[in-house]
Amino acid sequence: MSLALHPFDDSELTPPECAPTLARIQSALDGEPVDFATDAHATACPACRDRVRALAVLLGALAEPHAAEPVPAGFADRVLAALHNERPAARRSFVRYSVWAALAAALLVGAYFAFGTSRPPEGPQPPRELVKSEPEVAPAPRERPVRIGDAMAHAGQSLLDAPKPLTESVAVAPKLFDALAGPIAWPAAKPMGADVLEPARQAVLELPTAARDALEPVTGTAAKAYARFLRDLGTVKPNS
Amino acid sequence: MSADAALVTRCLDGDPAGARELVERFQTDVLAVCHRLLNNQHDAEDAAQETFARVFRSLARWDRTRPLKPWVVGIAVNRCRTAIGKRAKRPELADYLHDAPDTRPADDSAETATEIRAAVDALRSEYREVFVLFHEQNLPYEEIAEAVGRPVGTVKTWLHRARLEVLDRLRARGVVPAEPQPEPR
Repeated sequence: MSLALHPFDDSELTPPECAPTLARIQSALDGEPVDFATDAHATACPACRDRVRALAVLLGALAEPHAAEPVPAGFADRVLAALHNERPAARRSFVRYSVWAALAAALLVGAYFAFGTSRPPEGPQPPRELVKSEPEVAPAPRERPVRIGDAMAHAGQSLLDAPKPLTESVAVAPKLFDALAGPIAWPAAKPMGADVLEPARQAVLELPTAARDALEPVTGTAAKAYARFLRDLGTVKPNS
Repeated sequence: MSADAALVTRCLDGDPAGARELVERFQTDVLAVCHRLLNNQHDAEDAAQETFARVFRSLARWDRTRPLKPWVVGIAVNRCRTAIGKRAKRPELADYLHDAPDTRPADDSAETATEIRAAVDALRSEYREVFVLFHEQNLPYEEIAEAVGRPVGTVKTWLHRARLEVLDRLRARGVVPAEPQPEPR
């Protein structure tokens, strides 16, 4: 059955009695010395007789030394120049991508501080009188048109889409969020002091190193962004 | 460390002389394969240039336990396949716009060579690749298998079929000299 045969098996197309002669033809083309004078089939079978004569023509043509194609002048120079031009382009592309990634990371953290504390409270509101009785440490929050859930989901997706180094560099971000999310619950139970800010500050301090490892020396943008962020962190008041 | 591995190490270290040496070592083979498979000088040069770009891009992934030449030739064969695929999609140029006219002398040997070349060109691409690599580039079966990414057995089968098809075409085209007739008594 033909299915049992190799798809390129010669035996499909040639009579079995020709097989030994065809094998000798292949051996001759492999460079082995073959004497067809002793091959009775090669003389008796017209097709194989023609093949053997064609073989002589082919072997003669293949044996002639054919001149190698001349290499075009300056070919190596063109290859190396193309290679040289290709590398800076790839580097520029990486720098451009890294800058955008750094900006995305900075925006993510910025978005949290800008909008994360204005989330409308869930559950019942406390009596207004109770709030008034406590010292007021920040102005009353205003309604903002931004949907923080959407913004955070978008920012989170950006992080997921970011390359691995960036993902690793902001892997410490959850620490920051954990440190901040608890104390900055609405309404603020008490003024945010050093005991609240310090863990957050520590978590934020880890970010520049991680980001620098991932993004430097490609760009100083991340370092500058985080330096400014740290500078401003001390002046941030809850719900401001 | 083999000479190939030493050369590749120099290239990976950014040594410009190493890169030039690699190009100059393989450019004749790569151009010959590309020219033979594409039958067009301009396309062959483009494919050869892309081959070296691909070689340098992938150099770190080369298996140092294997010879470098079949790996490079294999990339060249792949670039030629891609070029042939692109060529099939673009409008065909008029024949006279292809290569420069053949200026070889029209004697019998040239005619035979032309017929053999035409017979090889008429082969399906896999057969043509292995025929060119074995009979024109003189690569052994193992290196051809490496270059085309197929087992040695498959390469042998393809080559055997290619040879029979070439022989049959030469017979059909009358390239085979007439059979000597027995002397009349």
